[in-house]
Amino acid sequence: MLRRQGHSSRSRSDASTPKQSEAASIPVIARLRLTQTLPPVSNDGSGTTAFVFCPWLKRSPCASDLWTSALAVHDVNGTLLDSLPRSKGQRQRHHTYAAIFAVDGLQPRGELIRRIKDAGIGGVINLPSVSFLDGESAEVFSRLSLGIDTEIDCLETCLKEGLRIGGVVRSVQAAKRLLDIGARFLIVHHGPLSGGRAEVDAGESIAELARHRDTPVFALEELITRDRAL
Amino acid sequence: MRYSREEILRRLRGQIAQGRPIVGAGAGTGISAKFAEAGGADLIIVYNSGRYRMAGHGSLAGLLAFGDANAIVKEMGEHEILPVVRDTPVVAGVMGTDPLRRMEHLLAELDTLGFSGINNFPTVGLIDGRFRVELERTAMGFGKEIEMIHAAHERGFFTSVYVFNPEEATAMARAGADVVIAHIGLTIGGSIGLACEDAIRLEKAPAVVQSIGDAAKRVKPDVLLLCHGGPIATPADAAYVLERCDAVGFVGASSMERLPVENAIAETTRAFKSVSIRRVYA
Repeated sequence: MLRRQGHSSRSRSDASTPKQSEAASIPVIARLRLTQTLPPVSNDGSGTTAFVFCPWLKRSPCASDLWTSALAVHDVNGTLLDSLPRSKGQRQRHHTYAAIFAVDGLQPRGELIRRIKDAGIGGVINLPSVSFLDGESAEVFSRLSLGIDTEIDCLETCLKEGLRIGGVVRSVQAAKRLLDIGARFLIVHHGPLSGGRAEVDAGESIAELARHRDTPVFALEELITRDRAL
Repeated sequence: MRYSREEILRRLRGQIAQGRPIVGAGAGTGISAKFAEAGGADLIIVYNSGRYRMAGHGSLAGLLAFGDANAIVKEMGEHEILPVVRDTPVVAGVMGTDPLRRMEHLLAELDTLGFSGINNFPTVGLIDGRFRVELERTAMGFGKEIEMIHAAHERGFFTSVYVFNPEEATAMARAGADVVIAHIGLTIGGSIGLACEDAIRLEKAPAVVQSIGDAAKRVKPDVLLLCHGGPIATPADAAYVLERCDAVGFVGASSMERLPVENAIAETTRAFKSVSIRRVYA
């Protein structure tokens, strides 16, 4: 069971730095929902519920499409940008995370961040993720700087620009890196088919690591199964 | 379409009869296409990764959700490549596994635009592992590419297909492919290519290409065999392979576009930088 229940022990009164104060004042995410439409500000979550905004899922009728959404049938970031309100001064959607294709080198990162912030969206997450791919092709992608490390570099940039981050991960190394830089939650997966023993072990290790950091972990398969009707 | 399959095959067989290899050139820009034609390319091949390649990214980016591959090839064809190519068949790289398109409609659009041939890129042949199994399971596998090529063949298009093993070669030959291109991996070298040690060794390439060609010819004896990728990055590499197997030509994408551009621009810039100026007094 990966999903964290209840509030974090981060809600302490002895936080001394601004970052710790912010962390202490924000309840831990207990529930995550995938959504194809931008949640209205009034329904941006109670703080314990966060939304992952994936407008590009609208064109994908099948549950399996989330896995194949990493492939060249669409422009993930372009679709996201087209779905965002263009006017500035939008009311804040603190608990919404924009799903970005974080390895996309063709989309200027600064512009992507600016438009997401202008839309009032509070965070980003690397969804879809190149970590969906495995085998030799995944290794080649990684050697060509099209791997999970590049995605995390992008998330780190977003963090420095004031956005919160969530992370989609498959490996313990990636999870550790995301936890180290301050991911608010993780979404763990084993790839599109049932994981073998090694991957189940990795999932459990990630859950354990995240528990030590009071960071909630969700299973992508559960989100796909539950939320594809949205 | 601008050229019929019969016309294209007549041209290609004419080259072979003269002892000359068939050369297919990937073009990510109009100027690449224009000068590949000037250099004698027999086929100009347009796919989405060409755009990414010439934007400074690796060709493998063409597999990823940076854009709609089929929309990009239409746009590149209509606005960049087809207007500048005078007398060379232009082949469209089609993502046959795209679940958001009706292939018959797309092929009709490409026909109207003036493409003469169809190729299967982006291809799931470059993907492996459990993700590939999932693609096969959910009707986004290599079988969809075979279906697309068969539909293109039925429509009268010339078809040249990337295959990665003898089984795929057999299936594509049955679907009517005119040319089978033995793909032996990403091209090495340059600023964004694969490292040499990560590719199959050149010495092994002829046997791989031959096994693919043998499988295709058992089904379709008149199919033409070309090779592409991996360690075949220069004309000398192509010569080495073609001397040792039955391939009658080569398809170059990065090798014929990115690598020459990287070298030529860097050298020319260096040459300009080495020019002297008169001393300027402050």
